[in-house]
This record gives sequence, structure tokens and C-alpha cells, in this order.
Amino acid sequence: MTEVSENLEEQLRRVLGETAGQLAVKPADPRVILSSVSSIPETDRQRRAVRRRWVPGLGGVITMIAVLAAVVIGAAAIALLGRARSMSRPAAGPTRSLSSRQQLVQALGVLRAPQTTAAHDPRLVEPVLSRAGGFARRHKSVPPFWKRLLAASGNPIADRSLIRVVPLPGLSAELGVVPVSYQPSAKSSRRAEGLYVTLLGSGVDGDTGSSGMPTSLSSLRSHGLAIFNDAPNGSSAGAIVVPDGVTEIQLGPYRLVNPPVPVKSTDIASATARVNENVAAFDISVPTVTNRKAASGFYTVPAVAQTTWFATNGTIVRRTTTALDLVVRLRGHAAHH
Amino acid sequence: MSEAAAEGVLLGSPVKDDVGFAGFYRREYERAVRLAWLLTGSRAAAEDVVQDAMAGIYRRFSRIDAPDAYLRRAVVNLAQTWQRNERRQRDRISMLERERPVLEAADAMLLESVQRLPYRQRAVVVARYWGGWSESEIARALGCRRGTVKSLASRALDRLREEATR
Repeated sequence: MTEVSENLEEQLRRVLGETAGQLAVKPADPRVILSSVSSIPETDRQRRAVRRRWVPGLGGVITMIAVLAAVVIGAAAIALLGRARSMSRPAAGPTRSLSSRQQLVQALGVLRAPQTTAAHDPRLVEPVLSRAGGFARRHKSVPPFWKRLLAASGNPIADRSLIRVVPLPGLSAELGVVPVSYQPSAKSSRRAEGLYVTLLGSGVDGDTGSSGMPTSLSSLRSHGLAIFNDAPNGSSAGAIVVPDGVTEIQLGPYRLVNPPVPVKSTDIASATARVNENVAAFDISVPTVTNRKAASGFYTVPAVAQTTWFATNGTIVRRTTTALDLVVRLRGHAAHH
Repeated sequence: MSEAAAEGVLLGSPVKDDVGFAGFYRREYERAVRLAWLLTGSRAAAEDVVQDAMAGIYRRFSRIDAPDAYLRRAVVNLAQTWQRNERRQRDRISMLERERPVLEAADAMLLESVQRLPYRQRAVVVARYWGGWSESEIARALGCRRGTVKSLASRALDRLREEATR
């Protein structure tokens, strides 16, 4: 055996010993095992004997009734508690699945940061129909149009304590990250936690927010959540929300979907942005195109951008796509807008 | 009546087995958790693996001749099952951090290399250099021949040596 290998073996003994020694093991308590398996039969014969004993006798019936009564009382208590809670906090109190909420908070560091006063801006929750949702729950006489609209978006209710506002550097705008509880399926009363975003500020042409069903956590992990709007300077400004662990995002190359103006996807340069508080801000400008046969003005071109997420060490975390509308300025024969 | 015997009576279990099992559990639990930790890299998983192994042993404690060897094999097998499931889960959520012990840089690199070894090679390295098990004991725990243990150990050391000189 060589000296090198002897050294390695010695090092292995020491490192594994030190590593194992650093684990603080809780004192052993055999009652944990005894209580968990003492009722499990040991052999097939015992198993058969136990099965025979499972004929519902008087004791069994009484036990079942007791269990049923306990379940009913428990359910009633939970319902009463929930009602009391929603009455004490009429503005907040979304009915939500704790597990999916916790998962969302775990996935997005920005939600774990303290809430600022900017998060109380009512414009952040207007796009998610929070007020209409609350109204719909309290009153029966909701116009059918609102009912359909709410149902189509899973009856979303803003999770106000989790709303965060992230400034978008260089865009004179800010992104509202609005977690909501919603019904993933219209037929189910189960609620899950998802995400809406709103884009506000003078850097974009008017406030805008996500529409349709909220973005689920799995979708957020696989694709992120993007929102774009026209900017006053004639570019497309927006942001992409990504889970923890992503530090940089590259958008591009692009594929243009039936462009109404003669613009080539190769004319649009790829853009890269750093991620700050789970949000990357983009300002994408497209060169002006000329076409004497068309009217001058700004046109919206639907596009799909290849999107690459990078980690801190520069490795690629994920490749995905982002759908967005690009603003293209066309110089033609007359004014369009 | 001893504490362990009292536990058995209170829980309606055979007193003789509970006394024997309780003693075995107290004696082996801590070392088994450390072994499972070295194999899985996760404290929670290590505790789960050992609890499952102990539960399996408890059911047939009176019939097992060498419960310590049985426990070693159960821990090694259950840790491998956990790793398979954990890998599937990690593919879905790729950003989960594992617990890391505090070590010197060179030692930490070696530990990372050990954790990157294929499972059976890692189990042989841990069993031999931390557990001090004989080749026969490792072969019984892994369910393979002694020759396979030698070959796994040799490949593991080659790989560790190669990573150390890279």
C-alpha cells in the first residue's frame, strides 16, 4: 500500500469520525418504537387472529360512534373558529391551504422579508378583485358577470400580509408581488396559494396586473412569472419573478408571432438582468423599422423569448420560455397613433 | 420493575422482548443515527431511517440472532431507498440545501467527494473507515460477496484519490 493511500485512509477515518461526532443525537427513547408498533401483529397467524377479532361487536360500535362524534365536534369547532376569525378580520383572512402557503414563502425570499407601507397601496390588489371577492362572499346578490369573472379566476382573495413591493431599478416603476388564495378547480372547495403581480409607476404606460388564474408554485418554479407593459419611451418594460437560487436572467433570442410590421427577430438583442428580491427588471427596445406602405406609429408584436436562469456561480439553473408583447416603432407614410 | 419493563407492561407488549429491545435500542440508537447521517447527509432522514429500522427489528426481535448486524443491514438498505426517493424529489426542487458539518477546507472537500460516491461505494467507505466493520460484516450489510466489497473499496479509494489530486 502506498504512502498516499495510507494518508487518504487516515484522513478518511478522521474526517468521518469528526463529521459523525458533530451530530448531536437526541437521547434514545424506545417508547417511540414501542408505542408505534406494539399494536402491529407479529406473525401471519396473529394477523389472521386479529382479522377475526375485527367483527364489529358492541365495543366496536361504541368506539366507532365515539370516533364519529369526535370528528363531528372537531369539524364544527374548526368551522366556528374559522368564522370567528373571518368576522374579526373582514379585510384579510383568506381561506388558504397552509401547506401551499408555506411552500410559496419558502420558495420566494422576498415574501420572507418584512412588509413595507408601500404594500398597502390599494392599486396592488385591485387587479386581483379582492374587494369584489370579499363582497361576493358576504352577499348573495352579486351580478352574474362578476360571479363568472371571479369563478374563472378561481375566486382569488389577496393574502394581504404577504404582499410585497419590489422597486425595479432603471424603470421608474415597481412590481407588486401579490400572493392570493384561489380555487385551482371550480368544482373543488380546496384552496391553494398562488401568485399575481402588478406593475405600477411612471416608467410604464398605466398600471397593469396579471389576469386569469393565479400562477401556481409549480408553474413559478418551472417558468417564473413575467409581466410586461409599454413604456413611455417606446420600449417594453417589465419584470420576471423567479424562485430563490436564481441570480441572473437572460431573455433571448426571440421568436415573433405573426408580427404586424416587417421586423425580424434577429433585430432584437438579447437582454440580461440581475435578480433582486426574486425579481429581474427588463427594458427591451426594438429598433425602429421603416415601411412606406404602412402607417407610422407604435405596434405591439407578440413574442416568445428563450429564457435562461443562472445561479450565483454562473451555472444554468433552468431554460424556459417567456411570452411577452414587444413594442415596435414603425416609420411609415402617416401617423398611426 | 425496571423502567423498560414498566414501559412494556403499560403498552400491553411482551415484557421480556421489550426489556431486551429497549436495552438494544438505547445501546445502538445513537451509533445507528450517525451511520445513517453519514450515508444520507440529512439529520431528519437519518432519524427516520433508524426509526424504521428499529420498528422492523422490534416486530421480530425475539427471532433475530444478531440484532446489531440486522440493524446495520436495515440502516444501509433504508438509507439507499431514501436516497433514491430523495434524488427524485431533488430533481423537482433542485435548490434544497443539505446539512453541512464544520470542517477544514481539505477535509470538507474529502467529505464532499465521499458524498458524491455511488451509494454502495460510499457505504463501504463509511462502514470501513468510520464503522471499523470487517469485510464480512460489510458484505452481509450490503448483501454481496467479500470480493465485491474489496472491489467497491478499491474503486472508491481510486476515485477519492483522483478527485484529491485534481
